[in-house]
Amino acid sequence: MSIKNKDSHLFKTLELWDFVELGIIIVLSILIVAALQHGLRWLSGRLHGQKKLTLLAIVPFVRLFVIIVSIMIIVPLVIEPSFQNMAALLGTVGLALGFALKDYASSLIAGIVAVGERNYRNGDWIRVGDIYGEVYHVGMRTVEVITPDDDRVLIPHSMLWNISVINSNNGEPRLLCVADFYLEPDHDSRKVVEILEDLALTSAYLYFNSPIKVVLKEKPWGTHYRLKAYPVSVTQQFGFVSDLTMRGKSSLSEQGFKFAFVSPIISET
Amino acid sequence: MSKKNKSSFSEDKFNSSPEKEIIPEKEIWEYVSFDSFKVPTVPASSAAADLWSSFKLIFKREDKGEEIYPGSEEELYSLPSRLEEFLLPIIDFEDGTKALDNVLSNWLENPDTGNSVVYIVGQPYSGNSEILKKWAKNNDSTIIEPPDYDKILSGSDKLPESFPESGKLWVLPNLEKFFLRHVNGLKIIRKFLELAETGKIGKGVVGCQSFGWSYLNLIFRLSKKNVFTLQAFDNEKFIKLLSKSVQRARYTKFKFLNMSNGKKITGISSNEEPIDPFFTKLASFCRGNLLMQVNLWKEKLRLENENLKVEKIDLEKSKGKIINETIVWMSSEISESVNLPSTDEDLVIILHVLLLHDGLPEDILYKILPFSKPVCRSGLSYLLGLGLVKNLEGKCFVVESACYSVRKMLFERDYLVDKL
Repeated sequence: MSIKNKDSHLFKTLELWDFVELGIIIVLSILIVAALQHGLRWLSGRLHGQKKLTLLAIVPFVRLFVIIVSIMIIVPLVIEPSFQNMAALLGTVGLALGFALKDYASSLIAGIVAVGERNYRNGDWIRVGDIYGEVYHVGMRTVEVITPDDDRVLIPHSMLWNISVINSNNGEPRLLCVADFYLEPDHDSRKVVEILEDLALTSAYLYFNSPIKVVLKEKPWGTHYRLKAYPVSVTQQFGFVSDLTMRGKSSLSEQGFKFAFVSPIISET
Repeated sequence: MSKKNKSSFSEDKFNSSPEKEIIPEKEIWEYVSFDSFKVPTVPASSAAADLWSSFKLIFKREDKGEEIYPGSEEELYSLPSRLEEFLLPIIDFEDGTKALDNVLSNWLENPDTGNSVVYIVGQPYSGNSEILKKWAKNNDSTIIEPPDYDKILSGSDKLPESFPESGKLWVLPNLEKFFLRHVNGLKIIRKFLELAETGKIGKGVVGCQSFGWSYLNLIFRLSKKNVFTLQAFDNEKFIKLLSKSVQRARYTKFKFLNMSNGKKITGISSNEEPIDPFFTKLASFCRGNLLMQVNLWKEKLRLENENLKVEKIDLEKSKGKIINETIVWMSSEISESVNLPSTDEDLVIILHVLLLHDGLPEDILYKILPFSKPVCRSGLSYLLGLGLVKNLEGKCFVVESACYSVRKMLFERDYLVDKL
C-alpha cells in the first residue's frame, strides 16, 4: 500500500525550503555559467594564437557541464526518483518537445552535437549560407556570429542538419587568405608570379611557416591570378588581403601590366 | 711496510701532475657556428617561478613596483658616469675581433674551401657590425656600405660600386640594411646574394642582425655552412667581466645589496661565492647578449647620496688602504612584459618591422607599413610615449632595454623572430 502511494506521486511535495533550495541552485548555476563565460572570455582576450582559441573553445563545454550537473541536482529534489516516475517524466517531456517545441528541441540537440563534434568553436570563422563571420558564442539553441560589418547574427544549431557549415580556420589561429588579380591575357606570367610571390613575402602580416601559392587560370577575358597565403592571426585576414591587393595593384601597374576589363554582361555569364 | 707503501702511493697520485687533466678556461669572446649557439637558461625552479609571475601578470592591471628598499627610495640615485668603469663590465670590441680572427683564420688561409662568403650573425645591439668594421680595418678589407633606402625602394638591383677588384677581401657589416620589406625591396639583395654565393664578387664577410637573418633565411634559404655567431655571454662570463671592473677600484670595496630584501648579491667580489641567481636570470632574459646585460645591469644599480661623492681618484689612488666601503643597491626585478593594448596589432607590426630592419627612418617606415601615414604616425608616437621606441635623428629603433620583451611578445603572437 505504501509502495503504491509512493509510486503514484510523480512530484514530491515541496515546502518553502525546497523552493528556496531550488532557487539557490538555479541562481548559482546561472551565476557560475555567467562568471565562467565572462572570465574565460576575458582571459582569452589577454592571450594570443592557439592558447586563445583553445580557451574560447572550452566555454560551451563548461556551460554544458554546469547545466547537466544542475539538472542532476534539481531532478531528485522535485521528483521521486523511481523508474516509473522517470519513465513518465521523460515520456511527457519527449511528447511536449516532439509536438509543441519540435524546432526548439531540434536546435538544442543540434547544439549539443555541435559542442560535442566541435563543428564550430568560439573564435572560429565560419560561413553558413551567405553569412560569414567569427563565432562569438556557441549557445544552447543558437550560434552567435559577428560579421566583418559588425552585425550580430544568431544562427540556430538546427541548420546543421541540412546546411553545410564551412569552417575557415577550424580551431587554428590562422586561415588561408586569397587576393585576386585579373590581368589582360597578353603578358609574361612568370614575371607576374614572381611579383606576386614577393608581394606576399614582404607583407607585414605574413605567417612564414605556411606556404605561399600563386594559382592562375585562363579566362576568355584575361588571366585570373589567385595569391594564397596565411596571415599571422585570423583577425588580420581583411588587412592582409587589402595589403596584398593594394600593393599588388601598384606594383603590377609600375611594371607595365594591364588589368583586365570585364564588361558586366561577360562577368555575369 | 704496507702502510708506508699505501701512503706513498696516494702521495704520488696526488702529485701526479703530468696526468692531471687541464680544463681550459672558457673563452669570454668566442665565435661558434650558428647552430651551436646556446641561449643561457634559468634552472627549472626559477623558470616555474617566472611562469607563475607571468601568469599573475595576466591579472595585473598596471605595473606597480614591488621593491622594498630598507631606507627611503627617494634617497637613491642612478649610477653617475664616472663610476661606470668600476661598476659595469667593460666591453672591448677588440676582444671580439680577436675571436673573429680565430674563427675565420682557416677560411682566410685556405682559398679552396669552396665558400666565398662567410656570414656573421649577431643579435640586435650586440655590437656585431662594430666588430666587423673593426675587423675589416685590422685586415685591410673594403667595407661595403648599404645602398640608400630610396635606391632599394626604386627596385634597382645595381650593387654599390664600392666592391673591390677581385682578390681583395670585402666586409659587408649590415646585410639587414640591404633590403626592405617592400615588393621592390628584395631585388638588390637577391642580386647580391646570387653573386656573393657563386663567388662572382670575390671573397667577403657578411654581417647580419639576427632578425633580418631569420627573414632572409626563410626567403632565400641561405647556406648553413659558413654561418657563425658570437656565443652567448652566460652568467659566468658576465661575472668575470664585471669582477674585472670592480677590482679596478683597488682601494674601495663595493658591496652590492638587493633592494627588495637587503641581501648581498653574491659572486661579484669573490670566486668562492656562488653566483647570485639574478645573473642567471639576467643572462637568460637577455639571451646572452652582453651589451643588453650591461645596459640592464646599469639600469638596476642605485647609489645613496653620500656614495655619489666618491671620486674616481679615491677609487684609483689612495694611500694603499681601503678608504671606504660603497654600498650599491640593486633592483632585482626584471620586467618581461610589454603592455600593449591587446587589440592593437598595428603597434606590434611597427615593432616587428623596426626589429627586422634594425631601425628605420620615419619616412621609409611609412612607405613599407601596411597602414596609412597618420595611423603609422600615431602608432609610432604611442610607442615613443611608452618608451619602447626611440627616435635618433629621424631614425626609429626599438630601445635596447625593451628589445627582448618585444621579442617575447612577438614570439607569443607567432611573428617571425630570430633564433639567437
